[in-house]
Formats: sequence, structure tokens, C-alpha cells
Amino acid sequence: MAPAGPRSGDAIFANVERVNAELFTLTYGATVRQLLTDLEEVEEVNKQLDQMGYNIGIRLIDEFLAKSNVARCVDFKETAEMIAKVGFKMFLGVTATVTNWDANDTCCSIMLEDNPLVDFVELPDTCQGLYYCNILSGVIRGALEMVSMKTEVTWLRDVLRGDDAYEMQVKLLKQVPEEYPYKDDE
Amino acid sequence: MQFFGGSEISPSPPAPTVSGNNAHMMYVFNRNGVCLLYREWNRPLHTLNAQQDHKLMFGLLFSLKSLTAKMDPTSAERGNLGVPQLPGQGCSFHSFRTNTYKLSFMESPSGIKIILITHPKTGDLRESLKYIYNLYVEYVMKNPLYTPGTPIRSDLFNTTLDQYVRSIA
Amino acid sequence: MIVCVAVVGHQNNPLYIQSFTEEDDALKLHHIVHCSLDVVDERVNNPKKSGPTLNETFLGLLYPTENYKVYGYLTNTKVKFILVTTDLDVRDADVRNFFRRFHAAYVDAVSNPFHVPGKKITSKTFAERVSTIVKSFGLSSAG
Repeated sequence: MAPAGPRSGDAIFANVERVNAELFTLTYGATVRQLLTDLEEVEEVNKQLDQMGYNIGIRLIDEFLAKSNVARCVDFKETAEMIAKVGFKMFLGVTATVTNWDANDTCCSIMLEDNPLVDFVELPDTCQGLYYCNILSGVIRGALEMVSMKTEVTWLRDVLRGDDAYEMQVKLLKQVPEEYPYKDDE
Repeated sequence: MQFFGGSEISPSPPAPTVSGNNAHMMYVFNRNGVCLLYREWNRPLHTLNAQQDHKLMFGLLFSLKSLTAKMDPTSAERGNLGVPQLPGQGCSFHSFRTNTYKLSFMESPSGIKIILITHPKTGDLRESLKYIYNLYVEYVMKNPLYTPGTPIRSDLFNTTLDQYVRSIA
Repeated sequence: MIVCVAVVGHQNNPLYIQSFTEEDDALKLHHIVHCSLDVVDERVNNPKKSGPTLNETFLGLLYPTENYKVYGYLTNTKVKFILVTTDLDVRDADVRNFFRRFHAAYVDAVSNPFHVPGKKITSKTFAERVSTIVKSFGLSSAG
């Protein structure tokens, strides 16, 4: 019988189907561009990207759990490490690091060393307010919501906007306890 | 086994424990208690209507989980009976057996519950349930036209599932 | 020394033109580039003359003037790259190498989702990359 321990991000990444990175990057680029054309407002595009990410996240979490074989994470700290070390590796092939924990262990930064979404991209002057990678923060928010963690994910630094790194802040708002979903009177 | 892009499901299906067709039925619930899937292979007796039946099953699991956590002799933080648990808290059971059937249970951290009811003599099905979870991911979750939280209507999934369940129980 | 590089679209519309001289002779250089387009067209339309190099993207020396040598490169998408240099003793390999790197830079620039095909290339990254390539022209003479 297969060993039941969690698998490393590298091991999973080596085994999944992959597409050409440029196809992926260009597809995402075309999506963002189309959104900009359709919605016109940069703010709306940010929102829409986040929503798209959320929709991906609530599905992706199941694939993540099934493939990585991880059991429940004990706390938010372990969860964040899991996202950075296994999640990013598994789905994007990059490694992320978790830093800047606050005193209560409810807020941290995820730093991306490499970001495959932004190859070739250069933001034009008209889109300076755009969070190009907002889809990633949406994915994390969606995925964590499915494991009962309400979070808020915001970009702190973005190379496309002239910073020196990619940094996302993940803030745990609350952990939702599992409640009995039916009404008593039924 | 070939899946969509030839991607392989892990873990590979565990070897069948007992051969023959002795699975009774299967339930898949999500966190909100919605019965995503109910399959029935061999169920001579129906006492309740389907909806009540699903609700009863979900209630049983929910209470049983709460009870098992309460009885846990190894962990201090057990909470009060009936008080909702945070995810990651408490222990979890994986099967129980009566003289007429065996119930195997698996819950993913995302709240997907898979229940398989088989002949009492069936062996450990934990790996099999994990494999079914993998099937669910490949055929249901990855289908872009499937809306999460709605009942599963995928013939492909049903066929594959039937085949697999026949091979294990 | 390279004095001017240009990218010209398939309808002979300028996509990017940059001169690298101190003096104010941009207009003259643009004129040279413009003239060279006719030579490119001629080469492409009269394959007999250009002979064996027909299937190559590298068009070689288009024409020499008193002070300059003009080289051309035609991609399969009919985008032309023009190089104007003052060096009289230029090795073919260096020019080929230059165009290969230039082509790579161009491809990355048009892969930017915010670039509109057929419009001028405004990317700063591209401009920087081009000037790096231009500066290193002829230095890595090993190739």
C-alpha cells in the first residue's frame, strides 16, 4: 500500500501534466488584457481577477489535498508554510517563502522568488493601478476558505509596479468552526 | 488507467481486499451537508425517503465525530459535546462495523465527506476512499462546468466509480 | 559602431527605430532605413538574385553607402530588422549573432500582453535590451 505521508511539492510537480510556460503566460496575459478592454476600469479588473482566482481556489484545494496527501494543518502557521512550500511548487513550479509573522501568528507575508505569470509583461502607464497577479491572491483566499479559514490577501510588493520582489500579505480573519448545517426543526 | 491528459491519479488503486460485489451504497457530502452524490448498489431495505436518509447519515457522522473527539483520552483540547469544532481540532474516526454492515468514512480538510457502506467482512478501505477522493477531483472538481456545491451529475464519474467499487468490495 | 537599428512591420510601417549617435542625424539615418526597405523587397521578390540565401531570415548586406553599411533580417512574419553600422570591416558572424539576439528581444517584447500588434513598441525593457545588445556588438567576436 502506498505510504500515507505527505508528498513534497517537487515530487508532485514532477508527476503532474504540464503545459508550455509561455502558453500559460500568454493565455493569462490575454485574459488580463481582455478584462481591461471589457471592464475599462482598472479597479474592476483587479476585483474580477480576484474573483476568478477565488473560483479557481475553491476547486484547486481539493486537488491539492488529494495529490499532496497532507492531513489537516494544526494552525495557520503550518497552513501558510504548506501553501508556500507545497502549493506553489505543485501548481506553479516555484518556491515561496513565508516571513514577517506578526505577534499573534495571524498575519504573514508570502514572498515569491519567481513569478511565471509576469514573463514579458510590462505595465503601460495607463494601468499603473493594476495588480496584474491578483488572481494568485484570489486563489489563496478561495482555497483557504474551503479549509475554514477566512482570510484577506493583499499584494504588498510587485515587481511590475517597480518594487524589488513579489510579496503577498495573508491575514487570517477568523477560523470558521464546523457547525451542524441543518435546522433543528426538520 | 488513463485520465484526461494521461495524468496519473495518485495513489494508484490499492489492491482489492475481497472480491465480489458487496458494496451497499455510497454517499458524498460537502461541508454544508449537501449530499453531492448518492449511489446505491445493493440495498434491499428503504425505510426513509431519500432526503431524510441523507440527513440522517450526515447527522450520524457529525455526532459520531463529535463523540469520538470527546472521548479522546490523548488530547486535552476536546471542547464540549455539541460545541462546533475548529477544523484541525479533535480526532476523526474512519470506520465502524456492525453485524450487518461496515461503514467507512473519510473526510478531507476541505470538508468533503465520503462514506462507503459495505459488507461487514470488508477490510480496511481507507486507501480506497482516498482513491475515490482522487476520482472526485479528476472527474468532478476539475470539470469547469460543474458548480461546486451542487449534486454531481457526471456519467463518466458514475461509471468509473461503479467499476472501481466493484473491484474493491 | 552601430548607429541605428530599426524594426519595420510587414506593411513597411515603422515599429521601432533608434539611433545611437551623438549628432543630430536621426533624420538621415531614418532615410537610410527607409531606402533599405526597397532593397529588402527587391531581394524577396527577385529570389534569383539573392540565390542560395533565399530560405534564410538573415538577408546579409543590403547595400553599402559611403559611410555606412546596412544589414537586413526578415522574419517569417514579414517583420524586418535593419541594422546600420559605420564599421567597414564587419564580420558576418557578428551580424548574424546580433540579429539572433535582437530577434529574441523582439519576440519577448511582442509577447507583452499590453503590446498591440502592429503598433509601435514602447517597452522600456526592450529599449534597454536593445541598447545592451548594440553595445556588445562585435565584442564577443568569438562567435
